[in-house]
Amino acid sequence: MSGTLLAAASGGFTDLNLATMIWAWVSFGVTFFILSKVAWPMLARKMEERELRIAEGLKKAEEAEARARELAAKQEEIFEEARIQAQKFLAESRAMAENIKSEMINAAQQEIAELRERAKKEIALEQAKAVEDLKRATVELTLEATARLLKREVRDEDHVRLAREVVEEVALRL
Amino acid sequence: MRLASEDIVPHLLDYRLPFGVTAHQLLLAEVAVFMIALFWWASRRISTQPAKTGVLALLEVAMVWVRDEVVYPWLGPERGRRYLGFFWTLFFFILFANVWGLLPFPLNPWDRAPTGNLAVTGALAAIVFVVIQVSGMREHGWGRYWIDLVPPGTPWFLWPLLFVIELIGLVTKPFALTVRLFANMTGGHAILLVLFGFLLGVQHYASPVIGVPSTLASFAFILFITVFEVLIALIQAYIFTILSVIFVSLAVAEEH
Repeated sequence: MSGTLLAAASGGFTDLNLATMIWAWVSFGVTFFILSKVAWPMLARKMEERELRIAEGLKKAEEAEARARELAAKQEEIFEEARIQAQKFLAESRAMAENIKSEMINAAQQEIAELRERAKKEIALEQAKAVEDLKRATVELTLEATARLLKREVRDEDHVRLAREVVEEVALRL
Repeated sequence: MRLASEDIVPHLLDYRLPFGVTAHQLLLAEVAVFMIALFWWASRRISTQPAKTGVLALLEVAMVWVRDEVVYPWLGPERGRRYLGFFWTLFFFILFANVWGLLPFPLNPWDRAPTGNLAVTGALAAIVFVVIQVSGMREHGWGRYWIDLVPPGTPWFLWPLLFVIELIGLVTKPFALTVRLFANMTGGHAILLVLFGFLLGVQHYASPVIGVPSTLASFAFILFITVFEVLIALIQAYIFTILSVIFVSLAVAEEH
C-alpha cells in the first residue's frame, strides 16, 4: 500500500461527483470515437476476412474431401469391375484349360487305344506268323522224324498235308 | 491493533490529487489512453492469419468472444455489426477500469479502481441508457417507441399508470447496472484492504508465535483474493456488457 492511501478521501460511497461523471463520459466518448475511426473497423474487417478465408478453406477442404471420396468410390467401382472381369477371364481360362485338358486326354486315350489296337493286331499277326512258323517247323520236324523212323523220305504232298492236319488238330487242342 | 471501518472506507473512496483532478478521474483518462494505444497498435498488427501467441492473440480471443458470444447472439450479425464497436469499447473500458485497481504501486499509485465509484458506473450506465433509447427510437420511430412502451389493448384509464411503470422500468435497468458493477468492485477491494490490514496489524503488534502463521495466512488469502478479483473484473465487465446488449436487443425488437 502506498503512502498516498493516507490522503484525504473526498465524499462518501453515494457521492455522485458530476465532474467524475463528465470525466467518465468524456473518457469513454473519446475512446469510442477514436477507436471507431482508427481501430474497430480495421479489426472487425480483418477478423471477418480471416473467418471468410477459414470458411473458404474449410469449404475447399470439404469439396476436396468429397472429390476424393467420389474418386475413391469410382476407383472402387473400377477395381470391382476389374475383379469381376478377372474372375470372368479366370473362369473362362479355367474352362478352356479344362476343355484342352479333356481334349488332350481324349486324344491321348484315343491314341493309346489305337496304339494298343495296332499292337494287338501286330501281336496277333506276329503270333499267327509264329504259330505258322511253329506249325511249319513242327511239320518239318514231324516229317523229318518220320523219315528217320521209316528210313525213307516222306516228302510227297499227302504226307505233308497229313502232318499239317495233325499239327492243326494238336494246335486246336492246346 | 483494532481494524475499524474508518480504516478501510477512506481507501475505497475517490480523493482529490494536488493538481486539481481526482484519482478516479485520472485513472479513467489512463484507461482511455491505454485502450486507444493498445487497440490502435492491435489494428496495425492484425492480419488475416490468426496471432498464435502474445498480447494480440489474447486481444483477438477476447474480441471474437465478445462479438460471437455476447453481441451477435442477441442482435444478430447484421444489426450486431453496427453496434460492435460500441460494445467492444464498453467491454474493454470496464474490464481495464476494473483491472486497473489491481495494478501494483508504480502503475496505479492511488490503489483504486475507477469502477469502484458510483459516478463512474452511473455515467457508463447512463451512456448505455441513451444508446438503448436512441436505438429503440431509431428502430420504431421517435414517437411510436414511447407509445409502444404500454402494451396494446390496455384500457385508457390504466394507460398513464402503465406508462409511468414502464418508464420506471427503463430507468431501473441502468440503475441495476450501476449498482452491480460498483458493489462488486468495491466489495472485492474492501476484502483486499481488510486482509492488508491484518497483515499490517500482525506485523507490528502480534507476537512471532501468532504473527508468522497469521502473516503467511493473510498473504496467501491476499494472493487468492487478488486472482479472484481478476476473475471478478472479467465477469463484471461481461455482465455489464451482455445486459446492455440484451437491453438494446429488447429495445430494437419488434415487440419491445
